[in-house]
Amino acid sequence: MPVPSKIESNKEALTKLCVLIIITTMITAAILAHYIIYPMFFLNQVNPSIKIGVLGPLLTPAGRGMLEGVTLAIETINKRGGVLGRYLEVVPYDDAEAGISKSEKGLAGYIKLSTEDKVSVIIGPYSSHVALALLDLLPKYKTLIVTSGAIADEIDKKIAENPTKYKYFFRTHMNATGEAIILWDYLTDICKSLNITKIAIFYENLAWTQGIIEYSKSKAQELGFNLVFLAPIDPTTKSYISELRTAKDKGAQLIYTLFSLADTTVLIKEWYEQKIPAFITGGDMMAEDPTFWNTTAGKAYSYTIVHWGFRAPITNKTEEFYDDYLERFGHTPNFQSYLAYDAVMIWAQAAETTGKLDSDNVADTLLENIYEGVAGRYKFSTTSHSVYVGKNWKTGIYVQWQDNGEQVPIWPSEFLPPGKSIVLPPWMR
Amino acid sequence: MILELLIYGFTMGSVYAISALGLSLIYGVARVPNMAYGAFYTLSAYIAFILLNEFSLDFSLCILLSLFVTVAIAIASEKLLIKHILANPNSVIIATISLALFFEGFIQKYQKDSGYSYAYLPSITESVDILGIYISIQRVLIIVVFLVLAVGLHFLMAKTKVGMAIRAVAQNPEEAVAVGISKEKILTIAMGLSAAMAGITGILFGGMQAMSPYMGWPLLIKSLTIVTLGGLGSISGTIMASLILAYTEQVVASLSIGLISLSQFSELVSLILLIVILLFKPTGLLGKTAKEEEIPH
Repeated sequence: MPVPSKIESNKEALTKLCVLIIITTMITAAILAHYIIYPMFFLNQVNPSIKIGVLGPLLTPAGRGMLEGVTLAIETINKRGGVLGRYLEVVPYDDAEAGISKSEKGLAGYIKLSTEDKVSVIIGPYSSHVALALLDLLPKYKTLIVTSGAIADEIDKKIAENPTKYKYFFRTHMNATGEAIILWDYLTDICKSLNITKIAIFYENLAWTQGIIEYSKSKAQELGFNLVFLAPIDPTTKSYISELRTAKDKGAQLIYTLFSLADTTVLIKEWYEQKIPAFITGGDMMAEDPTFWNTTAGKAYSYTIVHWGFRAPITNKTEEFYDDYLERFGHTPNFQSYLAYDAVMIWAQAAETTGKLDSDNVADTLLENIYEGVAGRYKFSTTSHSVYVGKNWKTGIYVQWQDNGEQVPIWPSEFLPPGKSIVLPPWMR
Repeated sequence: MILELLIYGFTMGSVYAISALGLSLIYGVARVPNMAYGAFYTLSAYIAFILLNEFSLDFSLCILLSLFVTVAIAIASEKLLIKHILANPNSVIIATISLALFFEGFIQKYQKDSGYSYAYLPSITESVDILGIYISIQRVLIIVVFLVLAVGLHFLMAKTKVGMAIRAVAQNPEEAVAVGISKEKILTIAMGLSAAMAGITGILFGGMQAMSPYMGWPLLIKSLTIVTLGGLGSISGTIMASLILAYTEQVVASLSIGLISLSQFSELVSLILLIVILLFKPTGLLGKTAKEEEIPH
């Protein structure tokens, strides 16, 4: 029997090695194709992605929060395999000029996102006046809106009056009356603890504040508080000196702020500069941001702001969301981040439940579902589509700026950290 | 209440005066309807902001550099554009509006790309007690800067050859040239001084409120109102008009009907004043008619 030469046995070994490499490569390629290449390229070709529109003032902190919240929600959903086997994709549209949302730009945005981009849902608009302007387009274009802002009561009234016509409008934030209920629950407690009876309200002269002001007028009277001064403020205002002076002259012991777009750094600096003897607190989009402490050079000390999402155990998902957001974007979420994130998640849950993407089916399912989000538990009213407000549903947390820029939750009292208490500005101690 | 109104009205009047004096110099005295004036105010504030935040330079150096760059840009605009169309004021208006929009677009792009939703310059927010009224050191600084600039500008225009030359060129360019004054040189000086005033306003005010790429337009309108109200070319008229406007705004802002403040209407004051002045005294409070302005032969 001939003995194979050394060259032949080497050849055989080489052949075996080649076969082994080819098989390994094929297996690796198959694994890659299955888990990476197919989902990346082919899944979207077979099932094109679902587009999610974002409509808002994208260059403002609110708009940035909306876009980032939607982006994180989409990334989270895509990691789980998308919605109905299709990946999600964000399509942003800026409706603002010089930082203020414009109705005409909002209308153009809604039409463009509906007709050109063919989005399945729009997260936005942020501003109530834009939402009110585009409500009448809903029956024509039928693109579902799940906004994270636009809290004017007028929207809910219109929906309640004509639920068929406006069936495509939802929001994850509470409406103005909902905010006002939380506001007065808080004010009742805080005024009692600080022995305050005279209140002034500084508010943006925009649609969203009207319901809160009307509610506050009657509620103050009912609770025995003296509402001494109401200052409607243009969101583009550059100084609050006169309003602060008048509030002081009228004896206000507490100034409540209602701002979503205005630059309130100036307000806080001027309040501090004049040492106005009034505790300042309220709803202030800009003052939520961690950078507010530095931009006011620490003058925000004792300013207490309502947060509609905060790193606290609001639900089981809240703290995890906060940490993921911080890791993903390198900064903390603002209230729009929480609410826009929840808006996408709520829509995705409804789409998965009904198994369809069309606005009619999803809208009907939204009214039936209950969803636990990162900013609270959601249930939409079947008449006005307003979200349920209260301890077990959605509420607000009042957070105070304290030493070294620490944001301390002070209300409801169950969120107050041990060893912490409410602080007053230095000249009011 | 009245003392507070007086003090805060004076600080606001000082800001208006610094800004309006610069416009008065280029428009009132040199008669160049420079609609890019507000853009120089915006530019200086943003240049200081960029130097501070992107290059981490010392703030005083940022102020000097931003003023230098703003003045350089203004002079370049004058040399490359304005001086060639000076004979036609309408062309100057259109060209300088375009220039302002160009600068605005540039700043807008920067703010968008840099991710700053709000931009601020540092300011001194600590307060001092003046007769029981708390006022920030920044406001005191504004008053001091205004007084220094007003005296300096008055001295420049009344006592120096440059000032007299500026006035001579404005009143009778042909005769000014005939006596050896360089019209081009004077225009450059007026443009540079005016841009410096706009720049100073931008830096002083950029620390007190959030900056925006569009902030030059309201300032331009207010300054135009003041210059018209005070009388074209009149420095004392400009200062008087600045204080009148500031105090009127403060008074209106302090009013309320029932519980509700009327402060939102304070911005209308300047527009109403402008209309009233144009209707009843087009030459302004201390302005001179064309006939009065003629230099005696």
